[in-house]
Amino acid sequence: MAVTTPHLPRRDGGVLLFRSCLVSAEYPGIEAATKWLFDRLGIEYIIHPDQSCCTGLGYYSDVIPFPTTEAIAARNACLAVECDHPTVGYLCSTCYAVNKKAQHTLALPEERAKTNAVLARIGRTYDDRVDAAIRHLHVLEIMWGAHTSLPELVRRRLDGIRVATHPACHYCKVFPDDVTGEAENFMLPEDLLEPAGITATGYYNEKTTHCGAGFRQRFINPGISLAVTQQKLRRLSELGVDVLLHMCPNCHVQFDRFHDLIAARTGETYPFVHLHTQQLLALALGADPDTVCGVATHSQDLEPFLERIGARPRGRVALPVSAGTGVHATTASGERQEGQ
Amino acid sequence: MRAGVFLCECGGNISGVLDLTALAGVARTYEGVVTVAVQQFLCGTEGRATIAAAVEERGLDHLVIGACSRRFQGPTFERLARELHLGENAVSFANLREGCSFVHRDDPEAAQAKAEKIVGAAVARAAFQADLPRQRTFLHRSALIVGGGIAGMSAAEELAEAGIEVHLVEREQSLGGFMARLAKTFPTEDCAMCSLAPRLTATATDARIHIHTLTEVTAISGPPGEFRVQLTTQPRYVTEQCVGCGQCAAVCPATAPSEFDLGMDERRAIWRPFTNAVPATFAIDMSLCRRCGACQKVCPADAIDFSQEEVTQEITVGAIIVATGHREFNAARKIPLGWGRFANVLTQGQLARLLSAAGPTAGQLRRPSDGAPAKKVLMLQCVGSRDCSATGNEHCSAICCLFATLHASLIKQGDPTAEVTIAYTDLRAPGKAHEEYYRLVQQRGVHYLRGRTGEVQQEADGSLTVRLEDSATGAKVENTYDLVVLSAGLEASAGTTQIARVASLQQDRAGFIKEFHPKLRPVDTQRAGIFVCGTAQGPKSIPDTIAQAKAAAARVLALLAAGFALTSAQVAFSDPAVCLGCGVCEAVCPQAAVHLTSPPDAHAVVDASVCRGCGICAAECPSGAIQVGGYSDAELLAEATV
Repeated sequence: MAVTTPHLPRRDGGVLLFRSCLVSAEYPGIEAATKWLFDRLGIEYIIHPDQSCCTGLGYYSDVIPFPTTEAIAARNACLAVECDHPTVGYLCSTCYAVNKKAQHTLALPEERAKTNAVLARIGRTYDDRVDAAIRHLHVLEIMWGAHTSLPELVRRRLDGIRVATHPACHYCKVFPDDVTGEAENFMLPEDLLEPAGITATGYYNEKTTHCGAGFRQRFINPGISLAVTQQKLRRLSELGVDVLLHMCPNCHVQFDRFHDLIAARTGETYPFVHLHTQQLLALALGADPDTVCGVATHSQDLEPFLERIGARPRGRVALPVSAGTGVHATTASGERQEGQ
Repeated sequence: MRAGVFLCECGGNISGVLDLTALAGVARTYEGVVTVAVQQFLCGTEGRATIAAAVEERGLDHLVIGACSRRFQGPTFERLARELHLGENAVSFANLREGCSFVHRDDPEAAQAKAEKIVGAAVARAAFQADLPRQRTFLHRSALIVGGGIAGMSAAEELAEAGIEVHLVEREQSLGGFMARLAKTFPTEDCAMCSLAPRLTATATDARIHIHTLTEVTAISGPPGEFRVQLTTQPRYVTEQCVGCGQCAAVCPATAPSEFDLGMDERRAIWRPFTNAVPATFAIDMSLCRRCGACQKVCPADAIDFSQEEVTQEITVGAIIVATGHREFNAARKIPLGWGRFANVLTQGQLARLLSAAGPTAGQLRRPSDGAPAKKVLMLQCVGSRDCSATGNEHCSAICCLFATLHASLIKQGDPTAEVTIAYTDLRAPGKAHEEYYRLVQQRGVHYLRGRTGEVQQEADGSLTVRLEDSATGAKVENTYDLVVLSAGLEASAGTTQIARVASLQQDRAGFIKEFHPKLRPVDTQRAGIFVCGTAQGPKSIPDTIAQAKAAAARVLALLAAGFALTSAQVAFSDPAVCLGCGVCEAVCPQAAVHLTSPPDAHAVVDASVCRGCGICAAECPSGAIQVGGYSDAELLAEATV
């Protein structure tokens, strides 16, 4: 399949890697793989010790009001511009959308005045200078700027591995006009992996359907939440994909933590694994599955897949039983289930 | 100078923001102003009478009109000045509406100050406005019509009837346009070809209409009344001896999806799009032809001629009508809707071919995937229309609600047990008898559901699953259909884009040809002598298209009937006493209206009949010898330095 994602300018530096609560708490390997890739691609970045949470989880669960979210976004933007790293790279599509939305609302004079009244207490101002300098990008977009360097960096070919993309709603649907490529057929993850020889899937039935998480919906309406997830799993099984690529930790949680649970409940099989795009790209570039990609925190058993792509010696039993045999899921009610 | 300043209230549009009494008081103090008057509607009868009386009683030689933009009502007041024998350049315009009251509603105080400056500048400029000469030019009593669809043919018929020679140019191999593809037309459900075929025959047999098919307009130059047009005709490789028997196509081995059938059928390399095609002559698609010679062997008329080549010719016409039509929105841009990926997802245009008695299935509705009868059909409205995303168009395509309604009705009449659902955004049925037709089709059992979908999914057997929210009831609906038909909107055709480039016509954001004024001059373009009609101007139904085509024909007749035209007063002219003969003007003129005379006394001469008054030559002229009528340095400086 021909690469369709439009070219983006290369960014060698000035990137603030915006940490994500969900990434840190659930899959730290996503962040580690991203940093590892930035280093390989020669992209200079910093992590700011004073950066705070975007509030997305609280905001979308209706426990944090928008003015708070907006003020925190303004503060984080000020930090990025102050330290001369105004290109903010997001690991999580919700962080991306929340901060970008705040930039739009902060363009309204009354919103900006209200926010600056709060920021004044910490000696900061969100002004036109900050607004003009700040740029919100998903980390995949930053990597895409350097994609021409990828072919020579591939160390582990992924020939014959069929991948599909799960486009993150908060990246594709909140600001569809800003999407790198087509909002309704987002291909950047597959295009990034093209040099490794993957087989891309392109558009598929249910591609634009969301993951089912819906923030609090996962907890207050678990039936509907998991039914949506199941629909997507079914369609992907029909296609025979090997990996579903993610770009948002919340989607990743929904699919990875509940994949085996849904299969066990319904008796259906969904023979593929979930990985973040950065994790699979790092694996293709030769990264270690444990120390760089953090596969131990996944609920699914990734070992057969890692063996298949040569990231593990053939026939090796890699990890302790609890992590290696698969089902390690959190149920809708929050219970921890072990080894079904 | 004895100038009169006339201020227009514009029914509150201006007086609602500006204090015109105060403005009149200020205007009286300007040098050269001998009278000031305020009127409710200056462009109306009373306004004209006020101006005429003031000219008579106060001996005015210049009018300063404080009203709307010159572009809007300029010709009205210029004509009045001419009637009052004030000459060609006696009116100065102070744009108090678009330039002031419309844009400064929120700040009347600043608007008032600006209005004083605008009127002051117009008075200052008037002092330097001298009479301008105009020339008579000859008019050719002939017209070029670009596009041979229903719009172009309707205009051609009208003009030919009035005695005008018409050159009808069509880029496809037959006249007919999009209408020739339709099964029936709304709201009467009469057969499209029954309306079209007589037009085709009349056009083909009228001695005053010269048909040029497989032809494009590749250059237009010269002034209105005497346009020189270059036509480039692609070879047909079949001569006029062809009797249209079709034996050649029967033996031709090369096939491709038929453009006429919108991919619903195949055609051969030698083909004719439809039975009543005009001309009836076949044509060879050389990109497909294998040059096997099979057609030559069977042709009873010896009409195959592989030696034909592209032909370029130049014609001269008095006026031009652009009737280049539209194209269906490329539904493949809406990837989730499956068009181009799934065999049973069609556009309304494709469905028209399947429902046409002369179409590939002889009017039988079958699923393209397996030929099974289509019993359950879903139509999705607003595909690529009313869609502000990067893959859609903002405009409403105007006809799709009724187009879908017509097709749904035809399906129900063909098979009363078929289930047809139309999923719409808003059902829009303005136009004569359209609402009544919509209600009738509802009674025929077509189900209308208010909702848009995000995705069409294909199942293993080729049927299609669609989830919709019925936004009228809030119910979520998931169903499987045999056919999903996309009401793909209307877009500017490739021919429209091409003629806009060749004729330097303005296009709107969607690519349709922009009319000179949407209400007052709806079929005029920005270029004098070139008119527009049909879907080249914007989405519209067949009756509206024909009405507009006849309006364009009437405009052509109005232009050509006089037998002569006057050049514009606002054209460039060169003062030979000042001109250095450097030739910069000749090099920069986009119309080739300026040329240098021969040495030793080389100087620039402007052909007023060709010049469009763009002013590029005047701006480039190093000595100031070239000035543009109504925009001389003296006028502009006086206006700018108030």
